[in-house]
Amino acid sequence: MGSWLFQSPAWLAAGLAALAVPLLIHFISRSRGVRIPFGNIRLVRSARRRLVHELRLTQLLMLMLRLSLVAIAALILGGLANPGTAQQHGEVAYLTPQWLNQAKPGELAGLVQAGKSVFVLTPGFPVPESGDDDEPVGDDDIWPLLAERLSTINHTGNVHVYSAGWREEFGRFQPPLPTPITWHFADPSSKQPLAWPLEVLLVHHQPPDERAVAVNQALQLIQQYRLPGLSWQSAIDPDEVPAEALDALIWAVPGLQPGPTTPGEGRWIDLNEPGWEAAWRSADFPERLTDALLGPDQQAKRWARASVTPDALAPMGAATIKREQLPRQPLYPWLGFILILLWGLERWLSERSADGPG
Amino acid sequence: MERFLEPRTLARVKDLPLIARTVAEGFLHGIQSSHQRGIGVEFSQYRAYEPGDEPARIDWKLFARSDRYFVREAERESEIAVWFVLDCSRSMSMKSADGAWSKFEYAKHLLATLSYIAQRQGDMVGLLAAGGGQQAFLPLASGERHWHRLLRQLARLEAKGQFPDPTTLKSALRPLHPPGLVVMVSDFFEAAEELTECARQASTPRNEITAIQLLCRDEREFPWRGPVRFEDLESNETVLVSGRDARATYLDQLHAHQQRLNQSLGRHAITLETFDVDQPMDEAMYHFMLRRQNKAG
Repeated sequence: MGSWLFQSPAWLAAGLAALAVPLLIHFISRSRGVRIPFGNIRLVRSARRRLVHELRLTQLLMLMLRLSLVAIAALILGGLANPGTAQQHGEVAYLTPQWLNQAKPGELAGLVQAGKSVFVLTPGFPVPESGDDDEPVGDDDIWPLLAERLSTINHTGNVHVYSAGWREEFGRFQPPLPTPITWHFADPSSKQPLAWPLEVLLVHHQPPDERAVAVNQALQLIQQYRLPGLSWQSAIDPDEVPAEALDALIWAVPGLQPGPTTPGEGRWIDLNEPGWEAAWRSADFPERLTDALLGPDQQAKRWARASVTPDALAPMGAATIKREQLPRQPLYPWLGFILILLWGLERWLSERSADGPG
Repeated sequence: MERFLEPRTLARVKDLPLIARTVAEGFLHGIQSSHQRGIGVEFSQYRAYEPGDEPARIDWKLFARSDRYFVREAERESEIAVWFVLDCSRSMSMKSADGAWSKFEYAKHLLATLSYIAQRQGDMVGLLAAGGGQQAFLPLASGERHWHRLLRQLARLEAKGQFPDPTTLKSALRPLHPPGLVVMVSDFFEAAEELTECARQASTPRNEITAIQLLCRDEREFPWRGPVRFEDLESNETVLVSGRDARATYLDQLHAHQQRLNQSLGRHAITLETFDVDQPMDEAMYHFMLRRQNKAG
C-alpha cells in the first residue's frame, strides 16, 4: 500500500503555512491576558496560586485545538486522499508510448506471453495557463503519472517500466517512487522518432490570427507528447505545397471555404466547420486534433513497430492510464466531521474563558 | 427623591462648581434643616433686643415704626467645623470599564458637593489631602470665597503614589481634633493600614469621623472572564488569573476585607459608608443622610 496523497499540494502548503497564525497569536497573547489596572491586588493574589496553572493549561489546550483545526483545514484543502484499495497482482509492465513506437516486432507480444500485465502510460496534454499561452502547466512528462500509479495501487509483484530512454519522456520531475522498479530501455541504436512521418500543412491568413496561433501551439504539443514524427508548415495558399506530399491539411482561413485541392490520401480538417469552430479554445483541442490528424488507419499504424494497435491494447488492461482514473478515497468527509467536532470544542473552551468583561 | 443625576450625565459637564451646586441643590430639596435660629440668610422672626446682641442686627425700620428694639433672627443651620480628608493615592484612579468617573474624580465631586452644602449652612470647611508625596491643607473657614479656594485645591490634586505614613501627617491631623465632623474619603485599599491608622489618629472623643469608602462597580462585581493580568496601581505588581475562576475567591476576599475594615474603624467609633462611584452621587448622599438621620433619631 502506498502512502497518502494530496490532490492539491499547493493548497496543503498554504494551509500549513497558516499554522503560524494560531502559534503567533498564542505566543503574543501568552501569559499576558487582558491588562487591568487594579486598586487592591492583594484581594486577587490568593486566586492566582490556585488557578494560574489551570489557565495556562486551557491556553495550551486551545492552542493545540486551533493548530489541529488549521492543520485539518489544510488537509482538506490539499485534497488528502486515501491511496485507494486497488491491488495489482503479478508482474506488471508499464510502457511509455515512445517505447511502443520503437519496440521491435514481437517485443510487446513477448511481454504479454511472459504473463506480465501491460499498461501504457499516456499523460495528458499540458493545459495552457489562461493569459499565458506560451507556458503550459501541469504534468509535462510521465513521471507524475507513474508515481501516482505506484502510490495508489498496491503492487504485489515486480514492476517493470519500458522506456525509450528519451529525456522528454521522463523529464524534469523525479518524484520518489514507493515501489522498486526494474527499468528497460529501448535499444539505443533505434532511438529514432516515430517510424512514419506525418506531414501537415496549416493554411491561415498572414499574419496569423489567434486561432492560427492556437493551432500552432497544439501542433507543438502533439509533436512533443504524441507524434515525434509530426512536421508541419504554414502557408497562405494550399497550392504552395504539392498535395501528394501531405498527410493532412488544416484549414484555418476564417470565412473562406477550402478549394478543391485534396492532399493525397491525407485528411482535411476545416476549422470553419461547426464542430471545430470553437474547439481551438478548449483544453482538449490537442487531443481532438491528434485523433483527427491520424484517422483510423494511421491510428492503427501508430505503434506499428510494436505490432500493436490501440484497439489491441485495450484488452491488456488500462491501455491508457490517466490521472483521473487512479483509485483514491477522498478523506474530506471524515476530516470535515473531525473539523466540526474540534471547532465545537474550541468554541466551547473559548467561550468558557472568553476575554474581557462579560 | 425620585430622580437622581446619573454620573455619566454629570461627567459630561466639566465644571466642578456647577456640578457641586446642581447635585447639592437637588439634594437639599427635601432634606430638612436643623431649624436652629441665629445669623443666616433666611429671615425667620423678630425677637426683643437683649443685652449682648450685636447692634447691627437691630431692625431700625421696625424701631422707627414701633419705637422698640427688635433683632432680626434668621433660620440657620448648625455651625460646625467640617473637615474633609481625601486619599490621593493612585488606587483612587481606578474606574470601571464603562464607568463615567474614576474613584478620584468622584471623590472630588463628592467633596465639592458636601462642602457646598456645608458652606450654605454657614459651616466652616477645611481640607486635608495627601498621597504620592503631595499634601494639600486648607484651614477651616466659611463662605463662598473659601469654598472656591477649596475647589481650586481639589482641581490641582492628582491620584498618584501611596497614601503617606500617618506619622508624617501628625501635625496636619492636629487641627482635626477639636469638636466637629471629619469626612474621610478613600477606597481604604491600603498597604500597611495607613488609612485606618490615619482615621484613628484623627479620631478624638470630641469629634465625629465618617469614613466614606469609594468602590467602583468592577471592584464590587469582578466582571472579568478569561485570562486577566491585574496590575496594582500603587505597587505595579502584576497577577495573572482566570477571571471567571478567580471571581469567587476575590469576592470572598473583598467581603473579608470589608468586615475587617468595619471592625477596625468601628473600634474607634468611626462609621464606614461605602459608595459605588458608578451610581448617582445624589442618591448615595440621600441614603447616607437618611442613615445619619435615623442614627441621630
